[in-house]
Amino acid sequence: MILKHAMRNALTPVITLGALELGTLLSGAVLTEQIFSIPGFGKLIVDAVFNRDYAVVQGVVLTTATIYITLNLVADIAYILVNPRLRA
Amino acid sequence: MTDATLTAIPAAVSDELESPSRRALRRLFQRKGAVAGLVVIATFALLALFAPLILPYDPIATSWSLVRKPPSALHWFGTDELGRDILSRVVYGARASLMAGAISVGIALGIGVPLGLLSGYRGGFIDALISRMTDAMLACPFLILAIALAAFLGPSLGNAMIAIGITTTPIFVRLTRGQVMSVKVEDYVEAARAMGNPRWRIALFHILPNIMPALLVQATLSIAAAIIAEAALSFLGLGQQPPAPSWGSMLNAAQRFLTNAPWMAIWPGLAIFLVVLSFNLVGDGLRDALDPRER
Repeated sequence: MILKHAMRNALTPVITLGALELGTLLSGAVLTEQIFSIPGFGKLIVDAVFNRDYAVVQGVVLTTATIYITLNLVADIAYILVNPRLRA
Repeated sequence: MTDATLTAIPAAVSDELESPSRRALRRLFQRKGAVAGLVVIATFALLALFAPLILPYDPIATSWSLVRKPPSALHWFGTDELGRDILSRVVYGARASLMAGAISVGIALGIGVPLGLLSGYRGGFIDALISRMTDAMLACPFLILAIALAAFLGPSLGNAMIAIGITTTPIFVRLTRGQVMSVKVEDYVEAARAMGNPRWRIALFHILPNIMPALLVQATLSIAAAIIAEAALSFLGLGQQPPAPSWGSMLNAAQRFLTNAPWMAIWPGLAIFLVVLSFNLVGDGLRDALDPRER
């Protein structure tokens, strides 16, 4: 009962924060990947910066922006799924 | 009527006459966290300002006989991989970090507030244009945009400040715009317009002072974020260039010697932690002190 009725209502702020935090995590990944030299997005952009490979830098920025916007869109849709009253 | 009520009245009157800025200051000093934050920031600022007078060592002087020595009476914070005194480097790093925080937020305020005023007060097409531009900038994660900008400008402390400043700008545009929209429908703005004041005069002298508290709080919190961003850029090698000291680049150098020489990482890390925490505490204190709802 708690799971079904309480969680639905408590989920709204969690979704908001989750979407925003994922954006922060994307930029945080730049630092962690550099420290542990994980070959990921962050390492890619930093290496591209030092190789003066501007096309790659642009690509990474564009891709992360797209991911971020998509996440926000997913969060907005999740709101409505969780709380059908919000459907305007 | 008792004496108590009679004596209570003058106190209430003087409270009414207290100017808003003085009241905000008094309430700020009532908060322990904010006062502690102010003390820490003032200490760091004074140390950074008078660094050459206080410190016995040059922050970039190397010495091969002093490589990675633990903290001692001569070198309080120890020495780094080139035998440089870490205390000196932390204090000179405070210069870079505090300057980066202040200047980048200054850039953000200088660009963001006029754009926000224009956007919020004029409305219409200009508002739509500026709002879409800020939306586009806010779509990119903060640090990634800053890295990209710093990369295009070329790695240096000045360019890192510009990059962080521009990345912080949309936050100020949006905040100013929202505040202006809520303030411009107030009666005193209407009165100023009825008296025939030109638009720019209303915006600068009637609206701007009334949205100042919100901007001040956001600016303080943004300085904290800017210092972290500067440390991150310097860590990646996009900020302060060696051999000039910066907390971020010190952490980058320390990372390879973490097990052998942990003091190389602890002091700059602690400095970043303390300064950022202090700015956040002061920002929170200001927010509470400037809130007109609670007296």
